[in-house]
Amino acid sequence: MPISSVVISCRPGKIDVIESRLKGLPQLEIHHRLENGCLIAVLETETVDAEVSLFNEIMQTDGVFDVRLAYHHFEDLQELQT
Amino acid sequence: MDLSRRDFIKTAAAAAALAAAAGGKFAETAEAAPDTSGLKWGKAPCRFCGTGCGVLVGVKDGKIVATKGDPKAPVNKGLNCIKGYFLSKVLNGKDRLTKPLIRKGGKMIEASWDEALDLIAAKFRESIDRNGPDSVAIYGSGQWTVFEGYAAAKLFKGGIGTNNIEPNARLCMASAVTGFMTTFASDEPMGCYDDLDVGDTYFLWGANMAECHPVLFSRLIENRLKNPEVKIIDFGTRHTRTSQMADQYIKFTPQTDLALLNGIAHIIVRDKLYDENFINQHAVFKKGKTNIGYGLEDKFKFADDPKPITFDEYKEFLKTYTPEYVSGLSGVPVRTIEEVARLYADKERKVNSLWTMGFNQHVRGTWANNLVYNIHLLTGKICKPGENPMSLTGQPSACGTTREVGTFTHRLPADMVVTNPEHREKAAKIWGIDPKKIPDKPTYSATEMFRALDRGDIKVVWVQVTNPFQSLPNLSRYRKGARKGDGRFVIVSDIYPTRSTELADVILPSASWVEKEGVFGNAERRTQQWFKMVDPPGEARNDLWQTIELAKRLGYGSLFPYKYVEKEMWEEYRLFNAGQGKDLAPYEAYTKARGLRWPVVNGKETLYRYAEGHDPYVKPGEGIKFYKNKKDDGKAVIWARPYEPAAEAPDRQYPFWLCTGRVLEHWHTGTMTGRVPELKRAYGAAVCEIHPEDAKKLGVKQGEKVKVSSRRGSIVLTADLRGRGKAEKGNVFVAFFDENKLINELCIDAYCPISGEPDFKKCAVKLEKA
Repeated sequence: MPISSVVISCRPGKIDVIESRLKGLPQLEIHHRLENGCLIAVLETETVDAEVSLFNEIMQTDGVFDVRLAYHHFEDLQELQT
Repeated sequence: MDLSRRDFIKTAAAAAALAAAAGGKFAETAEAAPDTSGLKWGKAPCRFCGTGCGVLVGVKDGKIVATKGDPKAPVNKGLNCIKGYFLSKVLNGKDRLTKPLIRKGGKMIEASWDEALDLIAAKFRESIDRNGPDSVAIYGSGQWTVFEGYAAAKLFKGGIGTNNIEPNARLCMASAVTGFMTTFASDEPMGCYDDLDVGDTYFLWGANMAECHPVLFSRLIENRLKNPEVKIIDFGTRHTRTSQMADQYIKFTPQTDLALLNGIAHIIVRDKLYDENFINQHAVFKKGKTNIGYGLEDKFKFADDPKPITFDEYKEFLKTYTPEYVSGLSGVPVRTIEEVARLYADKERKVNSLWTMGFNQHVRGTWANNLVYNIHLLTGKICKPGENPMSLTGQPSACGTTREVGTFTHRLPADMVVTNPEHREKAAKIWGIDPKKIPDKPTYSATEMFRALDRGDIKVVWVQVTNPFQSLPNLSRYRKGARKGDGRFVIVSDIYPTRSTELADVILPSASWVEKEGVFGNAERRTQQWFKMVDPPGEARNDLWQTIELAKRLGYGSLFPYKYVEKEMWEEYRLFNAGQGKDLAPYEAYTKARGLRWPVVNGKETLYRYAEGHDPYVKPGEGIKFYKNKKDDGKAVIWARPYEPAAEAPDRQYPFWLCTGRVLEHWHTGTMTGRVPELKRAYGAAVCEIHPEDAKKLGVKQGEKVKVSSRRGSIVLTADLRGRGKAEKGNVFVAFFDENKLINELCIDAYCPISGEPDFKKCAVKLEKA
């Protein structure tokens, strides 16, 4: 299962709503909440497919203006292929 | 992977994100923390676009198992865009090419490297003997590493003795090059990405940065968050994700950007908003030929005839472009044109212009580039931190390889050209060959190269790191031309099967990205190096090795006498650049740095070219000096370039404009991103974006099929009335990544006569419910 971390940039005043909405997603953990309006989340899914879908879902969340990928670990994926 | 390791990786992942997002003490903590993941990390620029983001690649047991944004990379500061996910898979698709293949009896049969290369060499020799060196060609790309491009240029120009070398960058960046050359006599920008952080006014001209350069767009948005004065104004012919985020979206009729730019200059001159001192010190005025044609005929030739004019004559030229006249052409309200001109000229504002294919893929692409520079030169908003025009690039080394190495038919490294005897002399000296070996005439630009293949003037073409039989305009002609027989022989080197490999006589399996050592150069003059980190699969080999192997078989092995090929080739290559305002550092420096922006003099990179205190070539007291333009005494050129219509505009029979381009999930022709199944689902097939009112008139609903036809071909697509991108009335947009929907069959192969770059953004189509 791949693991990735993302930085979610929220519009001013929107971070609370976004955090509570994203907390409801089973494959996502919010790790940090920063004063500059960013949330740090870790995504843990079955496939890269699901990661990309989740990334897109976050991007389309109302109040989110940017999502960027920091770290992507896919060791298990390699094990599966070999 | 056990639970404790998963927890460990999750913590490391969160720490990496925190360090990138928060910086300061978090970054220091993250960097100081020991890496106990068991991975070996190496640095590389991202494989995809021209932004040049830094990526750290984690390798375990000879395989890539992780990637992260490089926190030391100044471009992206530890964060990547969604394409970072694709890096995990682009090298590992199931259908990766791993053996050379030779066409035998209509089938592609596995062969050894020796067999394939001997056959290629025999075909080259045979064609050269029978038809001369101009009957063989190589077609590469802005994804070539510097070494691959350099080796190809050296072999073809300096060995075989033909200027038949072109890159796909002719299809994307050539107008930027001719724009820079005609205005400043030196290619590539004066500014850099730092301008995104410190300016306050950003005009985007047809550039969908949010989707195509997301990391750079993030920098812009962060700047705006910190500074409420920041304004982003998006000029477009299509409402995009970028338009949504901009402060103002200004739609205009395709092709009328030329009129708008002159209209802005008209107001600046009319109301004396220009910087007279700057103009007197740093600019001259010129005009060139008009009604210059569209390159639609085979073997089209054009030579401009620049003539000096006075400021008063330029003012006279601008008189036509009244706000009312420009508004009539462009559809932009008079008031908006007036406001925009004042914003450009506002002395309190730091103004930037950014563009990509909207200006470059344009039958007057060179002019569009000239005209935007005009505005910056008139207002003196250039060569200063936070105040610059900047042409963004689409490929990772369109700048570093094709433009700097000069892998175009007319070029040599470091802005030199084959038509100049001194330049040929210099190249020949560095290459250790007779100057007569390098032909003094350019042959074919990219489109003309494939026209020549179709006609049979070119018999043998080797395609490396690109997919022309999906990406050329008026595609059907060139696809048919490739398989006409009669001695034609097509070689394609790639990592996956593509719409080009299917037309090949020989397919060679290539190594990609960190499967080889390389150097790329990005859009802000940043040169970035990486080492090989993993082996390519099967028998796949570096394109550099492939080219040198052909050279040996053709008797030109002595052109490549290196032991450590990359390092020695670099040291040879940088002899071209030394002392030319394009200086590059020794190879060692790049192995350590997260890229350096040239000119690099005495180990120091240059953020702002032509500016005293930044550029070491500008002497104390000179302030700003466009020192490369020696023939105009170190001044830049303000050009009188008129509005001229597109090669093909909508009419009764074909009433819509067709624009093609990219989407976030797919990169170019999709040969790498298309290998990632989830992306296919996210944006599976190309769709036709139509304005809801146009769709209603056609009786087409969301998701229904629509037949799109031009004078060159037809295609059936799904109509999209409410996608991320929204077509304006009378316009449709189709992305070109989809190998099953070859939209480029509909595009016209008209090009800018000065740059040779085709216009993929404008042709006329009709729509029918399918």
